Amino acid sequence: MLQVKDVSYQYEHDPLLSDLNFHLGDHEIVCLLGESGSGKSTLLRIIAGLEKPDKGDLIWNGNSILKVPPYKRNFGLMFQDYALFPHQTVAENIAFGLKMNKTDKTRSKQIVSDLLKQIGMESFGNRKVTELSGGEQQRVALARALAPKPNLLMLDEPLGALDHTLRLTLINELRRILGENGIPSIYVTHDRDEAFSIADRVAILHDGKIIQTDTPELIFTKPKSVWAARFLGLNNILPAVAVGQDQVAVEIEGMTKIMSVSTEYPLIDRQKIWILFIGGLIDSAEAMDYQLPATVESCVYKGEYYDLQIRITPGVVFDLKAACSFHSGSPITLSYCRDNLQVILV
Amino acid sequence: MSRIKRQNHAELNFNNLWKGLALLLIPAGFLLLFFFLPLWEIFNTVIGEYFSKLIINWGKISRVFFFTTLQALASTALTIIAGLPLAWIFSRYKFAGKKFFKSLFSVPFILPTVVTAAAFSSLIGPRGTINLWLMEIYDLQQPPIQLMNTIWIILIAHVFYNISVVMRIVGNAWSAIDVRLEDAAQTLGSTPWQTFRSVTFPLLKSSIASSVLLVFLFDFTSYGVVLLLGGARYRTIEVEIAQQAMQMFNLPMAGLLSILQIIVTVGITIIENRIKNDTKSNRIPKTADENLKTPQHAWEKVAITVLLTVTSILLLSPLLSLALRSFIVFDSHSISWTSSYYQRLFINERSSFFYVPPIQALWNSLKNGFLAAVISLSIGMLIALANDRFRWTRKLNAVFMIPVGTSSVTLGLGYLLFFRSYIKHPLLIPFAHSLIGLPFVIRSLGPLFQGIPASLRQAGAMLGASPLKVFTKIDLPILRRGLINAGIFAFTISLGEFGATSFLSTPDRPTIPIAIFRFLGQPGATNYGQAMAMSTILMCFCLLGIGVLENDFA
Repeated sequence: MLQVKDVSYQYEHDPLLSDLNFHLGDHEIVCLLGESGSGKSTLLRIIAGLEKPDKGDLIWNGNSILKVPPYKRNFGLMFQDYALFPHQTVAENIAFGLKMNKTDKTRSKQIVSDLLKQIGMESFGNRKVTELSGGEQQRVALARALAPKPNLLMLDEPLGALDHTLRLTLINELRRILGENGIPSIYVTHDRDEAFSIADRVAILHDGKIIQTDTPELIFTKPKSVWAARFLGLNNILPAVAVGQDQVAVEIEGMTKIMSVSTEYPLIDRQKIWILFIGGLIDSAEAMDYQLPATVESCVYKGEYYDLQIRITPGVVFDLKAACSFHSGSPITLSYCRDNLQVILV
Repeated sequence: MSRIKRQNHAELNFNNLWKGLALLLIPAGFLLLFFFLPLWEIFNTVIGEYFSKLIINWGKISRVFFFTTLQALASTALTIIAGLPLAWIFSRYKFAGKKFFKSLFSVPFILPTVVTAAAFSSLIGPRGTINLWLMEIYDLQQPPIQLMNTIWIILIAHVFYNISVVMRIVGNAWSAIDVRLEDAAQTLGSTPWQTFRSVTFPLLKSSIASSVLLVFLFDFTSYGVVLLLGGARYRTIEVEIAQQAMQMFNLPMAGLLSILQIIVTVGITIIENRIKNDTKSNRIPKTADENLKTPQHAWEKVAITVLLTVTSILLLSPLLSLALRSFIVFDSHSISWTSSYYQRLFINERSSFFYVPPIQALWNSLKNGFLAAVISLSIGMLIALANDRFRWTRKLNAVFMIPVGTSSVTLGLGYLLFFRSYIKHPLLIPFAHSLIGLPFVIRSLGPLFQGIPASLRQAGAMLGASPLKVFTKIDLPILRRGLINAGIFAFTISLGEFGATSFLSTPDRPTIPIAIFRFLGQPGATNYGQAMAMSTILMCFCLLGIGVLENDFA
């Protein structure tokens, strides 16, 4: 098990990571999700030993590994643009780590051919890596990182450089291969869907800290901050004021609506909070707890659904998916149950 | 648009063929007259004499050949050993004053050979600053450091000269190697040494090979340094050619040595070109700064500081000592200051071996330099223009680049044999100099021309400009800065040229390097001091030129 304790790191005098805490269990895949430039790659490089933190500690199975050089950690790192050795063939690249830990030749050959089979590139062993396509390079890089059976595998935006369709195919393949090998992994990405489809847990990195770690379901339904919610693409948020332990007042078009919500902790009177609206039905016939009057601003056909921009109150626009089309400007009513309302404190 | 361009320029139709040829007519004629025919004359002479009466002293030739090769090998090895660590720190680390050090370390390479020789003589020669200082302090009668006319001073001077070649060529290749390859190797369990051996070195190999060949070529064809520092005992092929031709008048022997020289240089140039193509194919493109890091560990900081300090001392001390020595007079016991060496340069002394005041050499050199720059630029422009407007002519470029590997002494010998009684014609020096500068001019003008988008010229043409107007109103103004730089470069080369000039100059029309050489060859403290003064002046002119160039690149 890996623990990252209070790690701080400055890049050219700007704090990039500050007192960051993070842990990774055995056989676990954690996705590190954050904007570009948030320090995700740096965290990986610190764990790999390629970068020294200014402060903090790294604990592996109870021992500090801060002073262990990268080549003795036996952590695998798959680089963003793969960093395949251009002067070596596919097989030589994969065998590199085995050569370094002095695996004997026949055993090494066996491992390489097994891995080539696993990534579906049996016949590519003698190819130059410079002749491979992006997807092929990605697979070779994965095989190379897996070959020495690392104690921990880190993947830095492994699908970042590839086009959309290729990503969809490869993400499934990646999940299969990571599952088969059972190595605890940290997967860095800025793409929510990628994170959700591969992770046991998702950790969101923002302002140098991990602001939330949860399963994909929890992180999506119970984001702990407005920033996290918006980062995950949840934009249906209204400011509110607590008027009781589980009562909030929301102002819509000059009218105050009182709504009751479920919270983990009782709210304090006058406390300023936000309400995240999840789901929601348009012009529903069923009786729901709350109705919000609204106006359709735009309606864009997206293939399987229509993407609606709905104006709730000046300055607040909700996104909603609808099965049928609406004219822009038409008045509608949005309906929510009590369970659709999620309190966000910060 | 690209399709149209291809139709206009790439297709080899009759129209393109003769227009391209017309542009290349003057350059080709120039090269034929001032390069190929003189060189052919060397072969002609040797073959002619060989079949009649020539007795060849093969023992002497092989002795000279082996010495030349061995000293070049040793110099190259030392240069690589000294240059690789520099290439490493410049391609992997950020540190204060990096740009400054890079320019500083490149200074020796563009200094004239006579200045280098004079500088080393001024530092560690018998009349050099260190020896004078030691003699004054310890009241010695003899200079304690005796390095002059030894192999060591030659080797040190060669390292001084070429260290920046290794630093630049290997350094460029090294900074193009993605540092993440080395990181990847480390995460796969390879120690720093294993990483260097199995990742970095294989990727650097071709650039190291390329710099080895280039440095070897420069050391192999070294003339001024060996002539002035090696004394009578140590002679390279270059020195021997000059001696045979100008002192023994044994032209066939000189010619034979020249042919040997040409074979080696052409061979090395061909191999070097092959390697260069190789490097391109495994270079990975990436963004500029990513591979650089600030030194973190104490050993990194120590290594960088030590390397920069030692190199700065090695490279700067001869140059500073040269300037210092030009103001020092030593009367067997004590050192005092004087400016008399500079004053005497303006006097035409009766006992002098010059027919003119020595400062006249400076005017001669400036005149030659100006003419050579103008000629190189004009010829270079015609070639670059032809290359740009008529693509097929690029295939002929190798021909125009041949002079780059040819030794200047060989060129001088060729002129002597070919121009015979016209050898003292005053215009031959600028012509020879412009020929030596031409490859550099072509190399810097070519990319500049190609950097101008074709659409600019097409827009000009659409607005009614004729091809001539397009050239004068669009190309020339854009290229102005680059042209000036190429001109300064050609000018600087001419100022310092020594090998070919030594065949072409006359006593009443010396150039600065020739004057320095003659002063150094004479006994007496005043002559030595005047050599130092002249070398300092030449060094200042070269530094000025480099300053303008480097400033512009930055």
